[in-house]
Amino acid sequence: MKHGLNTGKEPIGWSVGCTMHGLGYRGVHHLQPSPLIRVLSVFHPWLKAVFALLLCVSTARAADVSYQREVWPIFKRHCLGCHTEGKAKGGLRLDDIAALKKGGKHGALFVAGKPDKSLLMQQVTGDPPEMPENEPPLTAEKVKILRDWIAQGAKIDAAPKVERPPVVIPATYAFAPSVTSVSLSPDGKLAAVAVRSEVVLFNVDDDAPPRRLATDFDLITHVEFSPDGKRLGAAGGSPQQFGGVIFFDPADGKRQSSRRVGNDTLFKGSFSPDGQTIALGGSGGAIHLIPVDAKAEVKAIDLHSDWVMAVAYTPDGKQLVSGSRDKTTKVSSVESLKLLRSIDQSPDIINAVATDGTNAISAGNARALNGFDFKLALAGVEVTGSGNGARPANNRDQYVRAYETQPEAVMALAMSGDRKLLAVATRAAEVRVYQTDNRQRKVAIAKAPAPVQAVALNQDGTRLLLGSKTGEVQVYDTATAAAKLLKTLVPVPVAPARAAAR
Amino acid sequence: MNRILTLLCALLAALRLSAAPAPDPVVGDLIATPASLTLVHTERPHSLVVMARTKGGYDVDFTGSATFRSSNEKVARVTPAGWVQPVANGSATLTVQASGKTAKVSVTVQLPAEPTPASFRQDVMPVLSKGGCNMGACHGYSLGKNGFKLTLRGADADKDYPALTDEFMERRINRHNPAASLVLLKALGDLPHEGGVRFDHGGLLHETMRRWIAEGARDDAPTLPTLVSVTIYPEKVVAMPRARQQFQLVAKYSDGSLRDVSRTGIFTVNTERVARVDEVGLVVATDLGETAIVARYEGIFAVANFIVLPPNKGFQPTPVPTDNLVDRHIITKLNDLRIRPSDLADDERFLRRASVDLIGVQPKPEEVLAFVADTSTDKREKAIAAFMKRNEFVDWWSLKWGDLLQNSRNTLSDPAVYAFREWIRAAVARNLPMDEFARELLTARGSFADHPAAAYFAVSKDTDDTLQRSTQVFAGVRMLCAKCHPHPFEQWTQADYYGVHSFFNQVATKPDPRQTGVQNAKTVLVNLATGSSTNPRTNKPQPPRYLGGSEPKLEAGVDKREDYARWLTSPDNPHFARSLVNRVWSYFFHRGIMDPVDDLRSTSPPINAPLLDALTKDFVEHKFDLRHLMQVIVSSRAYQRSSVPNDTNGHDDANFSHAIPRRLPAEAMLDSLVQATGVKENFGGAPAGFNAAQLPDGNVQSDFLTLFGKPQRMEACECERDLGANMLQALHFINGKSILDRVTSASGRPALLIQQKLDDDKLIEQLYLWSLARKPAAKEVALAKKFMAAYGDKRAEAAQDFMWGLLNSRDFTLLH
Repeated sequence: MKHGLNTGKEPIGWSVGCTMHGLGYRGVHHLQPSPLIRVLSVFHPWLKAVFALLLCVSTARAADVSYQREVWPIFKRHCLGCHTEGKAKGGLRLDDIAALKKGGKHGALFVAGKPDKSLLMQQVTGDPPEMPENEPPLTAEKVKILRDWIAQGAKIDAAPKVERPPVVIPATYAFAPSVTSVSLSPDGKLAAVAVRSEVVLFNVDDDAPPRRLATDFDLITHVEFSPDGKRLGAAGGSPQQFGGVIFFDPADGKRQSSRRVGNDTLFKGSFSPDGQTIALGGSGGAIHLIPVDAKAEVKAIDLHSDWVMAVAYTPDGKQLVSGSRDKTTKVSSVESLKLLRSIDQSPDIINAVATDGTNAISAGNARALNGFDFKLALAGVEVTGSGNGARPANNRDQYVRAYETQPEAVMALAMSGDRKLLAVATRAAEVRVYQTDNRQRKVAIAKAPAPVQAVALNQDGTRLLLGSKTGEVQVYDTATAAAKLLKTLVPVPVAPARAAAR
Repeated sequence: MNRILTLLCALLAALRLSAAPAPDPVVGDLIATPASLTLVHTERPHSLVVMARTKGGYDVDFTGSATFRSSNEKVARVTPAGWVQPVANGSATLTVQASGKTAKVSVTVQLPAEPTPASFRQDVMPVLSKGGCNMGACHGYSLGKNGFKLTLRGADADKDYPALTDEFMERRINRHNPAASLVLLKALGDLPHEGGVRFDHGGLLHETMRRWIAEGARDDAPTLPTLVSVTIYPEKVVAMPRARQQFQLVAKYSDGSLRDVSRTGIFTVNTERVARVDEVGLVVATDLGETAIVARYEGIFAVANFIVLPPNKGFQPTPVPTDNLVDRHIITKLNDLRIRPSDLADDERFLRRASVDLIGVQPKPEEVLAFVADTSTDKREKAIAAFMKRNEFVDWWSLKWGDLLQNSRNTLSDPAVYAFREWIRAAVARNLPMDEFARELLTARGSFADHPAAAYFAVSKDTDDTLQRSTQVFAGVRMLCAKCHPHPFEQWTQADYYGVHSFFNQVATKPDPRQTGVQNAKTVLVNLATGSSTNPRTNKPQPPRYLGGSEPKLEAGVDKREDYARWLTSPDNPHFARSLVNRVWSYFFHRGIMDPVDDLRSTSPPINAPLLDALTKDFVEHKFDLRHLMQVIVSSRAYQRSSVPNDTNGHDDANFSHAIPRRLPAEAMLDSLVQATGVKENFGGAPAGFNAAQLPDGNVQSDFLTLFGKPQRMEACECERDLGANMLQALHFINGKSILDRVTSASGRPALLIQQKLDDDKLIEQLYLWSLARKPAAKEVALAKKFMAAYGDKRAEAAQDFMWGLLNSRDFTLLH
């Protein structure tokens, strides 16, 4: 029913056209030429010719698309965040030529010479394009580069070079490096300290110059003497590149073996009681069981949903306690490589775990220090699969064994070799040592250089070693309740002026 | 081939450059800004912006093409782009040349003996913002990204410092080998980064962060000067189409020092059609019009006005009227923009527009005819005054206030809604000054029986709701963002939010014990003992703080709302009158002077600040008299203009140079339809006989009103009322019963007119008058006659179909 009446300026009657244009929103605007047309209309005709020519220039460039110079930078900027080793969403990796040619789980990424049949072009075009995910679409220019590259046969002129800065260990540091991990030999005479990319060994009882053991890790996160004191493990890696562990002979500082694991640093862990394996937390949520024997197989227990910050063996070597950035504390079986039970969920990240044999112990940013009775926590649990196994018989209230709340976030826990004493390092200046049998404080060190990031005890708990973010290391005699400071040092050379500036 | 292309390109580039200076000659001095500068930091160079004015009134930026020369390169050097870099202590004079003119800049370099190390707060935090690291979609997300969390848009350096330097054993930075720092490798894209490449190798962001890490990634001393203000230069630009303009952003610190932060500020353009801006503040004009250029630096905003004018082809400015403050400011602005306003709308269109806007229904035929016949010169003023005395005026403006104050049975009891409605109606009827109106509302307590205005508080879910509703309605400000983090587009912080919160936290809403069993029966209690609210950021009590103002010393045990209401409604309050004036303006035009009207921010500046200032001053001087304000607005020529554009104002959609057609609001549309056809609408859930404007709330059954956007009163926002158009509305008009049943009704207008046995001319005129409140043009009469003739002797049917057509036309649904 169209009337065709004219009411002066405005046509009468609804039509789809007038509805959509005339009543777009609150203000109704008169139809105007598109902005582009109006911009163009202010140009002189010869300027339009310039544009046409410029267009020619840009199409002329299709001559030779270089993978290395033109395609790789696009991948690097827009794609590599997800399609890379370790993440490889959709099974696709672009950081490796072989993988690039192979494609992902949706098939080959491109058909050389046929951009229209290439998955890559389908993904980056369309309205809106599927890729890059959650990002603005590629510019027309970049899409064209990809298209031309495929059309020209998707040749790889040169493999892209990813330059990673080398590990540099200064002879003299400009700033005292933070101490990330410490360990004492069982007899308490030899101290090992990890600072950034090196491990430093020094004697507690004399002033012989510290021995510096270099690594090719950007960051060492964990250093530990084996239970017999004959081996020193240093773990860590380079963030987002690789993880690894190096075994040294503490007597001469020589490397015994080393191993790389995964694509990010490893975190803290512990030697097995027999000293043949070191268990370390990993960034993928797994515990890595790395044998000292370089030829033996590395095993993994995949159980956390985020970084595993610390791992501890039970004295019998059969179970592992782990704490994670996912805020949980878990117990798993070394034999079956399966999770036994998630025994606790903290309100915040777990930084450290330990065990006295009877209890699993964990602590972290939430300042609570808790023990969990293994027997009660694992009662009724059977290993049946990858999950939590059978329904546990007891709830948390029945098995939790709380220590006193700590003054600040707990950064590290250390157990004496005989498992009778537990040392707790926090961001505060106070380091406390507890008896594990009654969870009472035995020793309190009041004026440590805060924040304390690392702590260790020797076999019988008569000596305590601590390391601070300030770079200072202290050794205490903890045989009696009144701890006695034996030694304070910064274990590496530091240029004096700038050290003072900190 | 390549060489030929290169040659061609060079030739073309030369051609373009030679064409760049406009035919319009530079008339004023060449101005290099700043005229003098003192540099105290090797890493903090300062830019120069070089400008001149043309005969045609344009500002031209010569920054990109000027030549710079230093009198002493050993003291200060200037890059070709105009950045002044200190070299050694001393003084130098810079000579700037462009367009055959010269400007001088004096430079003093006073470098400290020891180079100043990079500062986390002054240098690194801006890098995290500029790189986008702390955006809401990235590490600024409340849970961080991939385990790395920064505060949103750099809200809290005290939290970001440990996140960057301390977490997970200093994993993210390496002070001893800076190039290996994870934060750099990720941002550079040298390690896979889901957020993509954020820093360019060797660029400012990379270098700043690298240097800070190499210097030890130190925290700042507590004595570090804090950022006080940020200014943008130039503040106002009149640009030619396609012009480029470099903007300069300068930060001022608490020790008085200045720093050019153009490279780390974040620039955005409010109206993207008009211009675009790059990473370092270079704006390119893309279309005629006007936009704000907004720069953000560390949570502080600076705004510049950017106008793109068409070439001046003999533009004759309109004489600036002196008799009406609205027209004075609008014409002044239009002359600046080389826009001539459209002519005034004719009498019929004016009357319909004013009638719908003031009383919510179009005029009846006898009103139209009488008004057109009136030959007195002040008949429009008289008509406006008459509208304000009509009962429908009370209906219409009570409806608006009912919406804004959210009077609804969704949250209030049935009797409370009617009592509150009556309270509002009484206030509108006696033209209660707006300051008194607001004070009564903001200090009311008890149940509806004690004080109907207490319903205002009973609507709120909690104190947060009250705070957000009251700041939005009475200050036009949205505070919700600032509840959890600093407002992204304004300088509100959590201290501002909880400062206002503390004024309202004494209010508690309880079920009314005197009305047990009545749904939503509430009473508003005030617990005078309540202290200050806790600011979650500091975990400390935040004492009452006026919105964007000071913290008054209040005695314990007083009703804090009274103090807030007194402050809010004082004549010099920066928010109250201004936001109200802007809101009322938006009811008579297609937009507010600031827009949107309930999200007023310094980053969306008024389109005509002198106009808003003058109207606000006038409103306050007239003791917050709403009818006076409406009289000023509606009697302006700006309000009365035709919607037909002329050759200079077609592109203008913001400066009120011509009327922009608006759709009738739901109630006005329905009431006008009822009046036109003579067939009433019955509303379920409301007393019989109520018309649409009189309804108590949105809880009535009316598909028509719902479809045309009547709000449910769940939000204190004009935006809840949908004034848009959609296909369903069109289909409802074409196929629905609202119009069809009415025009075909035995008691409908066509039937009534047919009974009067009018001739074709009279019948057609009556149909036009009832439907569109105007007489038909001669051409329309001719067409209509042809249409009627086609029906033969089915005259009644012809009248019905014809009226159906008229009511379906845009002349009915829109105010032209």
